[in-house]
Amino acid sequence: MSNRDSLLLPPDSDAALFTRYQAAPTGETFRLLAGRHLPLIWSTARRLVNGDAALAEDVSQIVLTDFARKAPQLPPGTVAAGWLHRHTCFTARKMVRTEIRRRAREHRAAELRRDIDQDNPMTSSAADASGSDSAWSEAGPFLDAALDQLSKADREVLLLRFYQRQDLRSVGAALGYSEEAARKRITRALEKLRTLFRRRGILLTAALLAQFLTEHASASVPVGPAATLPGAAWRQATAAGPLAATKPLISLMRRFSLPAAAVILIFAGGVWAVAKSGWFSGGPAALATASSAAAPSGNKPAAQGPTLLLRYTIVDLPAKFLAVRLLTYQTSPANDAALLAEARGLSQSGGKLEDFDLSASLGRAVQFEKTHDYDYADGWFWDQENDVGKAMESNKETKKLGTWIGGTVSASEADGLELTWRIRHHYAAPEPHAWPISLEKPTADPERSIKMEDFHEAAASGRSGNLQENEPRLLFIQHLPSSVLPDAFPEPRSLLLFVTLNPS
Amino acid sequence: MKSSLSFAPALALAIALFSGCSLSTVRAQENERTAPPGNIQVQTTVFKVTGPALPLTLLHEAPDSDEALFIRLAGMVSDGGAELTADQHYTIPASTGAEVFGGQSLESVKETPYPSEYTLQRGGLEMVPQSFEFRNCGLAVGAEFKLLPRNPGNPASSGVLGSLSVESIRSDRIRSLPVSLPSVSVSATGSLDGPQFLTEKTHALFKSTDARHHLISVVRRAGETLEKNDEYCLTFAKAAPEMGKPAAKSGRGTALRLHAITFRLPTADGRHLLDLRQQSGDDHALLDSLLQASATQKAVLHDHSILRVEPSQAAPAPKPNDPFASATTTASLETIEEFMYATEHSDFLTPKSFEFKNLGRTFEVTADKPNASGLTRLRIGLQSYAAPEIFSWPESPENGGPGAQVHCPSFPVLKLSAVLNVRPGGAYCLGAVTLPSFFKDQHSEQSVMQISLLKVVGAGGDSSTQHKSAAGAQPELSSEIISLTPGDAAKLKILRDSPVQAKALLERLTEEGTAHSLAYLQIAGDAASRPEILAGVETPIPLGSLRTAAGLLLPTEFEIYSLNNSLALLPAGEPGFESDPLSNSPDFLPAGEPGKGKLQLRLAHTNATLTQPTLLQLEKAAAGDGTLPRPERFVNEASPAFSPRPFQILSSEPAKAPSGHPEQGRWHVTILRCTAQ
Repeated sequence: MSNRDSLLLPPDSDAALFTRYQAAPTGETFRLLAGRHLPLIWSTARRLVNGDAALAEDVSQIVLTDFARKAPQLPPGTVAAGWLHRHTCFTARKMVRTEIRRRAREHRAAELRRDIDQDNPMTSSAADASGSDSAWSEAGPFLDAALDQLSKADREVLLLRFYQRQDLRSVGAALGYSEEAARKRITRALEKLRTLFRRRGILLTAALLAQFLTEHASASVPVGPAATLPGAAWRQATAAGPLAATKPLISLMRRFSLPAAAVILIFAGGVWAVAKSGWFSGGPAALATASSAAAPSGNKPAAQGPTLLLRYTIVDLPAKFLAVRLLTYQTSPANDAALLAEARGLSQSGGKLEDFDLSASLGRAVQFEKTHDYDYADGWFWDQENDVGKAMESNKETKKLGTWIGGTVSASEADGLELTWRIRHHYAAPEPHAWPISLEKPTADPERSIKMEDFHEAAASGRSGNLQENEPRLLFIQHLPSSVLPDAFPEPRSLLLFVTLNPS
Repeated sequence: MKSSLSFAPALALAIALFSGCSLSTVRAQENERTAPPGNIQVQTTVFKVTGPALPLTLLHEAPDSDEALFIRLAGMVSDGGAELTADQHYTIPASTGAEVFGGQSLESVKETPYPSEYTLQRGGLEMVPQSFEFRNCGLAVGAEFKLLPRNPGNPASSGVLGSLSVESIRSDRIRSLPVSLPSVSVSATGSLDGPQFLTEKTHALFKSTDARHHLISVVRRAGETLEKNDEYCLTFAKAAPEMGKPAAKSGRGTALRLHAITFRLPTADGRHLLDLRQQSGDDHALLDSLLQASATQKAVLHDHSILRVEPSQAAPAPKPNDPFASATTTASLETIEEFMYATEHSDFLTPKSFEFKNLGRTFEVTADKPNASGLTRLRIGLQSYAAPEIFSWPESPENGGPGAQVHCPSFPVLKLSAVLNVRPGGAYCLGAVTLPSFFKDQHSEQSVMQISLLKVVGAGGDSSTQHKSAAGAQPELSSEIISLTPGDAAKLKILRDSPVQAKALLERLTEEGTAHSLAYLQIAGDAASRPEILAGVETPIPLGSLRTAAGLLLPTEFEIYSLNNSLALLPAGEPGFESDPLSNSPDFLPAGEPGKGKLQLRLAHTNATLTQPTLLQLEKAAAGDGTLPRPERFVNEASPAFSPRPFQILSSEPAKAPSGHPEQGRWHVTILRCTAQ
């Protein structure tokens, strides 16, 4: 739909509101838009996370935040409901995958506990019975996946009719059809949806499917989220820094064990929030951050009562220098010191070594950041005015590249010091990869492609005990095979991380 | 493929000489500070080797020699005989207290974008990605360990027990999807570049008391074509208390190394070997014969996967309604090739939406603790989805217009579930199945049988001489469908009360060539464990057609048809097929419902032909005046209750086969053999 068409829309229609927001993104317009679409987002999210209200709330907030940010860049004519449904599906699946990994780890840990301690066997509680309506309980879990498989036009017509609960005239107006045409399109789309269910072995009549969609597709949002989510999403969207992106995860911490939630938080890059709220230390935390312009070494921000200096050393070497010897490496204070000294020497001839110094207090989390923003395109539209036609960037995303590193020093069980640490490190610059858009092979024109970047990252967390002053300890070795490296790197590499407490 | 590591051979020598102490001069000066209890050092390493030879040598090597194998592979990395694909060292927390678990995850990844949605431009000549999704390719390791209580007899050898997951995902952006181009300016079928994600994944419980490297798994590496890729990944793990001293001589562990080996060979040869096995009761001899046959190209070593298991208590069942219930409680090994294919096409026949299908192999094991007599009960699951055959609908493009075809993948699938009571050193036949005639097989035009075996290696190595009589000791069920002339079927009917004579007659007719085996299926396990074997294809069949806006006449509304040979043993009283369950001859079928002592099985054998729609049929279907031809599929299904006997004839009936099929006019006899149920 073009901008000219939007003049014909009723001023209070979703499409008109969306167009208004695209032209002038204000909080008021956003709240109106968010309020109208929240039932769609909420019910979709809740279905995909199998009824977990807290997780659905997180998903809804992320989706609304992204919507607030991205909507102004979406191509004219985008149906907000269609975009929101797809993004909700994507976000919910991503969060479910994270949950699956976390639960799998917890499940294995529980299994292990039971295996070791036979006197204290793990008990499993019976699952709650689900849904009273057996047909819907069978079809419901597949609904959003099936909708995702429909063509854009079919999906949008169903979303507007059943999720947004619009009448036929409004559906037609929003999509540029007559009322009768909208009715026919809905019928055809329902039939296609029914076929998709049939392929999964779920037999539903079109009438029954329509009834289900009417009853279940869009649930009412509980009073709490309905009142708070649009505002919270708007604040996040307009706030600067990674805190905004990680705030929903705080609710994970409320619901799950602290260490597991902390890991999730770290990997989301939200260490700021952790440090500020003192999740690791149980009290006010010192926070050490540095911008990309700051020198990586020697950063000593003012912390409350700094008494310790942590030096992290990241070493990146061609694997051929050490890899085979590292296969049989045995860590110990003396071996680690010798290895670091050797790595410092080797880094002079084809490797990289970087020290990060952090001031720390006992029991307080510290964080060092050396990052820069990197803009990349993640959406395209077709430039119709050009004679040949060309794919033009329609949406840009920003990613923080660089190194986050941090940890907490605390007293260990054996009267020593131990370090809980974490790192996220982009070990190579993004490398664009060209995706051909022409179906003619071979493609003669190199212009007939679009470029999308690969990002290269290592992430880890753990705990190391027995820290002694001025004694480097190895935290990890990671062998980086060619498959994770940019094409420009022909050989595998070794990534090592050391920490030294109060280096001399 | 980028070049592998190259190192001076002298380095390998240095490793051999100074194994485990490459920095030994420094270590000698180390002071004797003791580490606080609770930290565990873990190392996970993956090597890649080419060819099946090295994994096969492990059939006769004890897990005790894993350290030597590790050192050998490190040397091979130096001289180019092996490639190091992963080596991660890390320290994870643990303690001897009540809350003992500590975990860590490491990732080194390449966030790889791939198009997930396209828009068609330039009259169908270009597909512009509209949106992308990211996949983290690379290596991810997850580990959770605890310290085992100290052994009073050997305080220095406090071991560790943990759960280990190693996952490697690679992306080769080389998969091309065939795309028909209707434009006259393009003469041939074009293709669309899509992502191809390849994964190897291991999850296992790991117990170690000796601070040495242990082989966790060996798996054939995922590749562009799984059938042809001859690279194997060997995953090792080492875990020990931080700064702990390894035991001078470790005790024998309880871990078992399981080899799942699958061969394919002509059905006649396979039947012959299985007959010999019945007579000798020796699964080692069967394994040796198959290995020999593969060495002389008379059989194909289709797969060889190795997995280390720690026999333990059966895990609690996951909550059935938990959306996150994919947490595995078994040791598992997976090779996955994510195959992207179009599920919806535009009017110009370019793909509009896609799905991923996980091709590859899965090997899963749950091991109970050994009983008083030293037998360990294993539940084995093997599954394989092979590279698909691409069907073109319609076959002749002129039917639907110039170059207008819809391409659909047809996925061959093999599934096996078995339960065995095993001893270290034993070899066991897991199952056998004749592949359906329409099963894509690259090796032969003739009927092909697949035989899967399990070799169990424990501490102390191969003690096969002590366990010659593996066959016959396990509950087993086999079924065979034999094709006869009507005259021979009549002769057999006379002998229905004399199984010995009936068996002799069938053997004689088979030898003379007037009878032949259509399908042979064998499974191991008792009824309670529900063993099952299945070989088949999942084929999309068009149900309707349409004329597109571009004027093309095409099949549409594809539905997946499963065409299988399968055999399953069920707990008594469980329903078999929902409809048309018994077409068996009452002359042979035991009467009555399942009763005491009776077993229930489910057997299916499919004869089918896939028929291409004609232009007329396509036109009629598009006009709403007719349907497209369904595949002529004749499924011989049976789900009777039966008494377990060494030999019995289940049914005898006229063959059900499509018109023109060679089986038309013949009779099919279904035989059951049952041991130790």
